[in-house]
Amino acid sequence: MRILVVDDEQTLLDQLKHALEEQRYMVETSLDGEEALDKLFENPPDLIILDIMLPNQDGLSVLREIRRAGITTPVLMLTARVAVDDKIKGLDLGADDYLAKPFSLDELLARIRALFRRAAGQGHSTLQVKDLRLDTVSREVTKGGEAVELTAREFSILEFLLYNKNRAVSRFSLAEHVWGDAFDPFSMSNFMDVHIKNLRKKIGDSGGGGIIRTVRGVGYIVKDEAE
Amino acid sequence: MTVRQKITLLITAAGFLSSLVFSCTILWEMLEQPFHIIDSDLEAAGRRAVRAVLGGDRGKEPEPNRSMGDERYWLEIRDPDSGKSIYRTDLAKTFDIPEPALGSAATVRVTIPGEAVDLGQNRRNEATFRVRKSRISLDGRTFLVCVARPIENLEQELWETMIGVGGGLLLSVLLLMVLSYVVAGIILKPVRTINDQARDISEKHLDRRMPVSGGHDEFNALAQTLNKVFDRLQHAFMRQKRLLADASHELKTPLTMMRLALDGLRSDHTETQSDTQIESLERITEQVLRMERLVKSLLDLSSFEMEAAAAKNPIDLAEILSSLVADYRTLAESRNISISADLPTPLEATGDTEKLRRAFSNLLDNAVKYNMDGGQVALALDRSDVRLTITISNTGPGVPEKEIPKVFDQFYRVDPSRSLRHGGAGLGLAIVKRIIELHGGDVNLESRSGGWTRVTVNLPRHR
Repeated sequence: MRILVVDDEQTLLDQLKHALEEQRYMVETSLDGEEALDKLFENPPDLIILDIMLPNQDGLSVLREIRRAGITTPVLMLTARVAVDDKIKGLDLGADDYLAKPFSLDELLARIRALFRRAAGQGHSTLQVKDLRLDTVSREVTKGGEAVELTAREFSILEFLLYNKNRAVSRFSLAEHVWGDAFDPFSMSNFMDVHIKNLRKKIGDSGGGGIIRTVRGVGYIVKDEAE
Repeated sequence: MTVRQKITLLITAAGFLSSLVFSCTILWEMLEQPFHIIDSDLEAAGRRAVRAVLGGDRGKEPEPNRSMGDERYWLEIRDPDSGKSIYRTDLAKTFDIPEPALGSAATVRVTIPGEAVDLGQNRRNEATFRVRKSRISLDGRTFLVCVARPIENLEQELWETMIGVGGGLLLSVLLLMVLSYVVAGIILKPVRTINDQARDISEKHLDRRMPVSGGHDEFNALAQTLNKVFDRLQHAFMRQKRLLADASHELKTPLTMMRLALDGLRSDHTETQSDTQIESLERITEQVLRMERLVKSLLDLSSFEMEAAAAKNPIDLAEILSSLVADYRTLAESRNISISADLPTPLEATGDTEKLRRAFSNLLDNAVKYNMDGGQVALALDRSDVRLTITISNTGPGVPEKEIPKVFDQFYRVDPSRSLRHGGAGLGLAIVKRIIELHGGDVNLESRSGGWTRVTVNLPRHR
């Protein structure tokens, strides 16, 4: 999978390149909009991560040109702006998702995976670990074929953990993902444990060598194979 | 004392003074004038008498008993050399009158004996006379003539005139007072207008200016000067906001990088890191998140401040509140705090869902955070035709009374050490206030230190 990252900040580009390459993506970077368009038309990638604030040509007009040229590659917009207008404008112009700076790596990776799944045309986008299945479209969870009733928050936690399968997810980024901007991640991360406990009980998970494991000093991880 | 009253008083005092001077002059003239007339009348009467009594026949001796015709004159003609009386009227025969120096006139008070004649004397038989003594020549002969007449009526007249003038003066002062009060009002009207307008140009309407009519008077100059002050104020205010927004915005990218680097460190190398390293990483992450949150709140606050009003979408406030309560219940339960919510459904309102969610989330967050373990949080709703009142009360330690006015200020914290523990920055309630104001409502906080805290949010129902 090839990803093109466009951002005017060299350090951020390097960091993203490093982090994404660790996830075994092929990463190309570009510092400004025009260069990005050249690279795009030459050899379209599988996903574009596009910052709105760019020199020469801003992210929104780059996006407009990409879509005008008929390129349907998924686009994830990055922005430091919080204005809802920008978000709506970006999505209207054909962006597939939107992430506000500052963001966590877990959140970014989860969104990239979701975009790839959607692009692959999996109508029933199913996330699975062992005999636990989560359908992101119908929003159903089954364990060994039996339906599991989860609250909206519990579903959201499980979904995020599954998108980040085999990666440790911090309690903070999990709280941020589940409760969004309006909530103080400090209060939330404190009682994340309560939600995880309830979730484990519902999916019949013991915790130790089970599906959702606690990682000391970090948060939680969902692993495919028992170690 | 208001300026209007001062102006009224000053104008009245000045007017009173000038009319007093004017009336005195007039009165003086009026008092002097009759005596001139009387004196010349006395002079003429003297001449007439001399001519009548002595001039009939040239060289003829005077007839002491001849009548002069007018009984109201006191008249005596004397020989200038011997001082011997030549002629006397009846009155002069009845009583004497103190005589003035030769060639002058005087006003004298005379006691009239008995009730022989009616000369307008008072009960003590006193009457006022004007008396004149002069030398009168006729056909080469000179006589000393002393003439007097009662002037009781004239005194009465003068007295009445004085009362009239005094009354007029009083009346004109009263009229002046009323008029100057009205005039002061007219003069001060532009000042009042300017004051009202300046008061309207508050923090939220700094773009407003005073109307300048284009004339060249002082009030226009004042309005223009004030407008310039407001220009500068607005500029400084906008620049401060801009700076805050820009600074927060610029902080976001470095924060993202720190966050990503930390995420990488934490997830990649847990196995090889020592406990101290993991702990340090945890602490750094916490602080980075605190900074992020602070920056986000600052940006939110400054962007809310730039907005004039919130969106007016139809929303269900009950749904927003109950989902928030459900979220915070889990948090509260971990500290044995119970949340009770009495919410009728649906609860229709207009506004911006995200913003209101943010505001009530901040309030519930505070209600749980600043509460005692095992305490209570109660959410209640009251609605009338015009407004919705939402109260959120808790059993927390409360806010000291003198701190209450400050709780909605930016960066205000009741207890700085406490908020360090909770990771707050003192922006929560400032954001709440701004959001509620954007919706045209208001928010109040009541508290008893060591007891309870209650936040009341009023939202208009129809906007």
